[in-house]
Amino acid sequence: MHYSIILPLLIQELGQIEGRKKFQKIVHILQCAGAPFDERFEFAQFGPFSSTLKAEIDCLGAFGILEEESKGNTFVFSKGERFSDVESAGLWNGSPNWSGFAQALNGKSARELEALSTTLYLLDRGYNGEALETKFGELKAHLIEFFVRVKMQAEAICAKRGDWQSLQSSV
Amino acid sequence: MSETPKRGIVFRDPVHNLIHLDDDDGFLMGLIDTKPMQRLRRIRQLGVSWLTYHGAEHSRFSHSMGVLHVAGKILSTLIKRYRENDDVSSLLRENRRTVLSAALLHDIGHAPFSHAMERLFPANADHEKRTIRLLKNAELGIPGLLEKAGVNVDEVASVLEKLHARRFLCDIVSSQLDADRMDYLLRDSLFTGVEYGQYDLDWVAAHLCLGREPLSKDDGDADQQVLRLCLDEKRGLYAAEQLIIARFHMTMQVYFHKTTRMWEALLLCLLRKAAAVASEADELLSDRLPGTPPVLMEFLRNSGNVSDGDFLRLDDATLTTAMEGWRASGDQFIAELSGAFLDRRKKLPNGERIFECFDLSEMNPVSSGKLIGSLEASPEKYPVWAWELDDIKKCGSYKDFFHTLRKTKGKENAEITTSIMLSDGNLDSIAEPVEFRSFLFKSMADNGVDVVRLYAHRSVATEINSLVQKFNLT
Repeated sequence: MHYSIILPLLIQELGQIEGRKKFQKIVHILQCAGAPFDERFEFAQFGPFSSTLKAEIDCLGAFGILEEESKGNTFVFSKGERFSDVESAGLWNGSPNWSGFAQALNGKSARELEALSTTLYLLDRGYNGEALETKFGELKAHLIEFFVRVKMQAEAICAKRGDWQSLQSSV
Repeated sequence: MSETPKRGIVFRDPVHNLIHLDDDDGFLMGLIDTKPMQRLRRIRQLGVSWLTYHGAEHSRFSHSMGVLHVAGKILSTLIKRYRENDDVSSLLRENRRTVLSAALLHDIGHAPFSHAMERLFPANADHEKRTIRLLKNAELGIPGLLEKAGVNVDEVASVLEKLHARRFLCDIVSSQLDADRMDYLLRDSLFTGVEYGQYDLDWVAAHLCLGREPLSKDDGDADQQVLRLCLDEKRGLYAAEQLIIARFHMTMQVYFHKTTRMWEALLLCLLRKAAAVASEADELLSDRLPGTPPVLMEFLRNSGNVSDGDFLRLDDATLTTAMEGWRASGDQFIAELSGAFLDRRKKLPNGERIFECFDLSEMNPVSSGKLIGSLEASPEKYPVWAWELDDIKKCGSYKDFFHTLRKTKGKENAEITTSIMLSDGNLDSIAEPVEFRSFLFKSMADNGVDVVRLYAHRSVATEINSLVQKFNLT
């Protein structure tokens, strides 16, 4: 789905997203769970990061569709002054089936999402069992407290991809 | 397999003049001689750019050799600079072979026509995943050769996937200052004849250093501070500017050349139609896809999901050979596009253009979303093989400069995840994104360039033109 449709739809469903990191991780996790985001992610300092997603958000910001506001140490994303252009365009048919799952993710901290997103990335790269835990510890020692929980969540996301009702309860 | 050389080996290279492999690096000859590496001789570095720049016939193999050479230069600079720091210098020496192996092998997973094919099937969207598969496939011999040289194949993989705990080792192979970019800019510039891609490689490579990742200071955990590959802040600024300008010009003049991208769109449309036909009944195939090599038929039928063995049998020649047969296809679309590609024919004999290009760069993204949504909603009217959206934002594979330089409104708002870093070389110093120091970069960031084009086959071009006009006005 074209980014100018799906990214505003995400904001429509979530109201706002606090932090660039959180925005990146929510989209990555939704993509892993089967939502139609097609950005490519690479591993960066805070885990999976998509420069394409960054450019798309900037583009929507430049046209006033999204608002990126500095708040303390973070940036808050919400509807921009021209968001109504998207609403009136009739590009959406109600809430998407991944809405509840996205809201559940938005309720989590950026650190936990970073841990979950990283684990999903490692699973996708073939890390399993002990190798997964070792690599997670190497890369994200400061997030190790989340590992047991996010590993279960990540495995559930991989197993229940697209089953949005089950996915919502798994996180 | 090649024997370990006794006095080193020297290769002639059109960009770097001579590429030396020392006696200690003899194991690299074994890697060079593997099937995945030799196949890269048959894949052009710049996809279909040779249809625009006739000199752009250089291969992924020659580029890979260049990346190996530049990675060696970077390692030498760092080893020399940190020779009195036991921790860093031993880390560099211990991982030297790992980094060189990663540099040499980083592109073995490329499909025919390089990045162009990444947009054909989701299975091929990420060539790095196939690279890792080939790297770890024992039957192809690379793990055994690495093990014999004392190199752990998983470590090489983690450098390529940017998952190595020592981030600066990954940076040498893949980052804003990587050996990959440093080679391809010069090589692509030389072979296309576009001289704007030149920059001072020797100066850049000689003034690399390490510094602490700037994002780590906000992470609340000192253990997470990691070292990144940086340019020396006193000597590197102008070199960084030159490198970025070279990338900007190469991106606009070569990688996103309007005509080159049209040939890429034509190729993708042709292969999408061929894939749709390949899934039809066998008895039709000899008429619709005559002369298709069996391995390509498998590739098309399985949406790019083929074994490593079959993948290695696919190269640029496999596709062009198939197109020669497809000229006689009973499917008019396949015949027309095959002939157009092979003969570099943009128009029919009656003067009608085979593909039209619509520039959507200035279009409001909501309008372009509506336009693309309309096309996707009517696949019978606008089949997926009749049009191609080409958006520079989606093409991180070309490693353009845009992602680094967008919207740098002030220090606090810079996108530093993907920036070139400056440092004084002190391992305790926090590195700083080059945008903070460069007036030139700030200006470029505030005036970002977007490139969005829609290519449409003549069968749908008139209708799409009407849609473009309609949505441009709303």
